[in-house]
Amino acid sequence: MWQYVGRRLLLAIPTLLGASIIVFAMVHLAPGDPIAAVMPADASGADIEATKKAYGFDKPLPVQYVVWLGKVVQGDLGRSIATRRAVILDVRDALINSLVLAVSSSVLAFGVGIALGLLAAFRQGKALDKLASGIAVIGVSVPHYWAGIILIIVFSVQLNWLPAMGAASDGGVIEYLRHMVLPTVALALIPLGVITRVVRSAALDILAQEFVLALRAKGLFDRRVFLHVVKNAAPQIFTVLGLQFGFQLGGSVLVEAVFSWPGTGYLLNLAIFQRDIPVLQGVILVLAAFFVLLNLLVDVLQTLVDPRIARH
Amino acid sequence: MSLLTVRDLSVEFDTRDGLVRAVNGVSFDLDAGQALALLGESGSGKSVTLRAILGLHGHARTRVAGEVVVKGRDVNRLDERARQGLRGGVVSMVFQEPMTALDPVYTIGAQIVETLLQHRDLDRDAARRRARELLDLVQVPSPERCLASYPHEISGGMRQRAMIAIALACEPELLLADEPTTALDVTVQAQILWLLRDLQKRLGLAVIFVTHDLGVAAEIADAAAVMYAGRIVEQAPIRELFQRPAHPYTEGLMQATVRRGQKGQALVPIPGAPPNLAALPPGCAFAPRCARVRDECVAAPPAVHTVGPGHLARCHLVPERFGRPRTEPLSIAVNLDQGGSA
Repeated sequence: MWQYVGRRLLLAIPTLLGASIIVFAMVHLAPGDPIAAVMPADASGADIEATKKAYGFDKPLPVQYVVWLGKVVQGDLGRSIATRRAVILDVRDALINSLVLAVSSSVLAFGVGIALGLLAAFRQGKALDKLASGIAVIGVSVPHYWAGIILIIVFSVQLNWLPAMGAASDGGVIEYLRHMVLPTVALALIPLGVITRVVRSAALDILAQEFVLALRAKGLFDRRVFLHVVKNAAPQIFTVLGLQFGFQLGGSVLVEAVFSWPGTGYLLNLAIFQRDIPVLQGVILVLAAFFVLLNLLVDVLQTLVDPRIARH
Repeated sequence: MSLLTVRDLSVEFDTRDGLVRAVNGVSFDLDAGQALALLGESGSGKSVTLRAILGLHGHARTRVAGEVVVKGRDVNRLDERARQGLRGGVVSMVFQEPMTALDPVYTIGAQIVETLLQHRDLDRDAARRRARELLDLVQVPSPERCLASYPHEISGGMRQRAMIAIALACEPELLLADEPTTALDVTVQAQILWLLRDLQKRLGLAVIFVTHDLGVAAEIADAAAVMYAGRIVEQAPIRELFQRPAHPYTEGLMQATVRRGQKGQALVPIPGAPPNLAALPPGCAFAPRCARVRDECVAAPPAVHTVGPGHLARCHLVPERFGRPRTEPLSIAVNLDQGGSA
């Protein structure tokens, strides 16, 4: 088991290196000059050259990459061009805020999605199935930023129940939780739809297998058969949960922008508009690393549940 | 009173192609300790009949009519709780393909133990000891290892033995075996067959053995019923069936089977294909493939005729070919419904 985890960890290194090259190249291949964004329009040529030198933009790209990677490994993601703060600090704060939102929306989406999916599968063709499938379709179809705006209009503007903007990091726990509610709901919609559908089809696949008939032929109670079905569908469900959690972390740019939630998505958004390349690289790299770790975790969980997935 | 009485059992599936009559007015009896072979090709309704005996057909798009009486209780009239007690407790089932019929993510031990806990008032340790005994009973060479194994970790023969152990866990009186040797190697087939016959004799089990293999039927059964297109077309004690097949379909099956003294003689296949169960012909369902077909066969469905003691066939030609029965049919264990469908 631990050997398997170790091997998967080693395999994660080339994946991360690949991600870092893409991140590095992508940002440098994109059009636009980051220096132009921070320097005043009337800055002299010598000033611009000096600034470029200070950031290392005058060196060839491979050299820039190696230097950058060397620093990244030591936890130094450079300084933001816009704010001059260390990128690692900005990314850390944003990551914590995003993680909070990712966890809360995932808990909501996973809980409701799994319950709806299983109910739908065990009541296939009945009214409950149609209701759950309808909710799932709405979940995946409605754009979450639009849903966010509607939530703000209804619950903040009209009813004035919940705040619409920011995270209230200094207003105490209750205030922070109140700020979380709307973005959490908006962010949970898509994964809720996806998970409901995946869980339903996974459970239906298992229900159609002969061993379910054999279990019933043994005289087992329905709830016992249910347990067998859930355990068989679990590996497939775990995969989707892991992926969805990753998306929650990285895919919340629009929702964070709508609610001005100071997370990684918001930071990414800001960095793109300010052409703040170090921040952009830092955020994307941290998110990529997170995805790799998450996939590793999912794989390990799968081998724990399903003995057929090899653990040499 | 017989252990199992099936009367006018019909199972219909409502499909996109129309109403499929998988089982159509099947009736038979089975006494305790008797072995009945249910013969027929794929799609003739054998497996559907077995599932109906356990009341396993769902309500959605499936209609089950007729009586299935097990020890005096009609399975179709019981509530779900009582049926769950019957399944595995009184009547249990062995499936064709143990790889798909065992849950892949539970160990063999867990699957035997859960069956025991469902029907018996045992604690976990006692159930585990009993599971070990059961694996001994079905002659698994290293029972401890088998208990801890997952289905994919053991061989096909061992899997089928484990399946049989699960079926026998709660000492049922009737075992339904749905082609239990079809998915196995020939050598293993023979072992499983001997094991089943031995267990049947030793435990006094009644067995319904579904197969398309006449040789298997001859080995294990006291009597046989031949199914075609959802009906029992011929029924007889096993020796009688082999010596004097009365239905042209049964004759066809025998000529299409490899047997002793076959060398030098060609096998004769039955021409054509089984009928579409969603659009059965008005007359005898076998008429389009029958070598002895006549006008009356196409016009009207045949009634059940008596060929000899305990030997019945659903064919228009029986009176002509076999004459009047010398004796009235004895009251034996296996008995076709005299009413017929005409």
